[in-house]
Amino acid sequence: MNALGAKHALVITTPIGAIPFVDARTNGFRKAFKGTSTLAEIPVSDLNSSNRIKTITETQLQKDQSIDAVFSIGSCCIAAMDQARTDLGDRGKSMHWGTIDLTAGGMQAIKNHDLDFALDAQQYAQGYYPVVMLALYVRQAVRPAAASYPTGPAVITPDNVARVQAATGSR
Amino acid sequence: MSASLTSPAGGQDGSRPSLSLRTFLMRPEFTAVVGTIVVFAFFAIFTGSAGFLTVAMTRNYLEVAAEIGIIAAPITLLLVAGEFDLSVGSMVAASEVIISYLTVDAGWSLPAALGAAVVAAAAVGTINGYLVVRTKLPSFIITLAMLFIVRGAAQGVLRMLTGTSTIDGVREAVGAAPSALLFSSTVGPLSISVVWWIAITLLAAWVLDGRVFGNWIYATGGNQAAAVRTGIPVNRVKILLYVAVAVSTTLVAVLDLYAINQGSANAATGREFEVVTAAVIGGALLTGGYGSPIGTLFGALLFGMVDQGFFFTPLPDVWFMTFLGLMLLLAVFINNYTRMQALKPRGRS
Repeated sequence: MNALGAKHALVITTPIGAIPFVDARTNGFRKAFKGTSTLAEIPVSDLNSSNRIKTITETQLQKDQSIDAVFSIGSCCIAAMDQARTDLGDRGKSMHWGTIDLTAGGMQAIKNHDLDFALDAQQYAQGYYPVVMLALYVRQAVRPAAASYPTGPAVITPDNVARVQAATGSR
Repeated sequence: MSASLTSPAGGQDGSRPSLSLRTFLMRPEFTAVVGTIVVFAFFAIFTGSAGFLTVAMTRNYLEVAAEIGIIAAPITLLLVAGEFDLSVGSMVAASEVIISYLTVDAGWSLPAALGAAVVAAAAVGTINGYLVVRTKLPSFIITLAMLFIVRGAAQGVLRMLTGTSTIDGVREAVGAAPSALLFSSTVGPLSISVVWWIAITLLAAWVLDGRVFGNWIYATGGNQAAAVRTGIPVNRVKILLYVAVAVSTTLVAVLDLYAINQGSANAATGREFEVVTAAVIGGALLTGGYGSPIGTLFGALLFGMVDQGFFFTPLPDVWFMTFLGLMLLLAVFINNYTRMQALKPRGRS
């Protein structure tokens, strides 16, 4: 978002304190983002209702016309965010849109340049693989030979989305 | 003020205004209509400048209200007949899964997929109704069980089929089929769900107050033993209403699919309580025999306004649920109070 030149970002998230791992994502964004952050806090009871996520997002965008970027905290809100962009018309097109996680609709949106980027949480690289490494180290004192561990693109943009789609199929 | 001015002129027929006032207060819609006006005024005055009154935001809260109201109208009839249905939210999700899978992954046309969803929903509704009338167990429990069964099945089946919990891209898969216009069009600046909502409400109101079947519904919920003795097919009334409720969930599912272009096995979580809330704000009694689809329409409208209007207030979003709860409690208190006041002079026990 910093690189895109956004000044005021709306973060679609859950109320702080409701879901801890979402809080970590939200706080991480607020810490790293250089501009102003406003939160659209979706009640947990509405988190599965994309239509309401959309309307609450649009409400916040209506309230503050200076918002020039929207960041979704997870896959929950990508469809809603995409619809909000469509509903906003020209303003939507001029804004920046990003998300954590990726869905089939999200990939399509990146392809269409509706979505600027997605941060792909790589369950294998971030969850399973480190455990394997640590277990090997503890049991056999084996350490990875290379200092870095190359994985697929973690930031998905219109430039590399085709590679991701080729690798994963449509979902 | 106006009362003191008119009473001398009223003279001997001074009882008339109080009678008509009571008639008005006794209408089940009373609280919902007044509540809707109060809530609208509240948000218009305090958040109008923030954008609550704009066309886009009006469309949004009407859409939220419509997705509640379309199910709440048949639910009102079911409540009048003295039964509950807690499985509606999960049926919305199941219908979304069926329609989105069949159109996106199996390549069916929209009418065929919709037809399959209606058949499935009607089957669940029939089972609900049949179990309730055969076992005579509280419908609260039966349909609560059905909620879990259907929700779990929607999630489980979709995961078996695709490994995900959502399906994107129904609009692209269906394309510009003429039948899609029924669910994706706009009417002026508003979405077509509002038209469905009003049409279904009017249909429910017409059935309840204009048809013999409506009398059967009142009788079934008002005094079932008497209804049975007068030859009303109580069981058939209930099963039919369960089917009507189930089919209405399919309509909401397809409207929601088009509104957001995504089918979700977790859609409409908690919708079962929202529709009952709308009906109760609209004047329906949970004990049966009393209720109004028109009142329910206003109940759903009130719910939609609060659901969206809150986010215009400067209050932190995290207080939303508390605010919603207080609003509902207040509405039900007023509802109860006015009904008691209105009924008291007639000595009804």
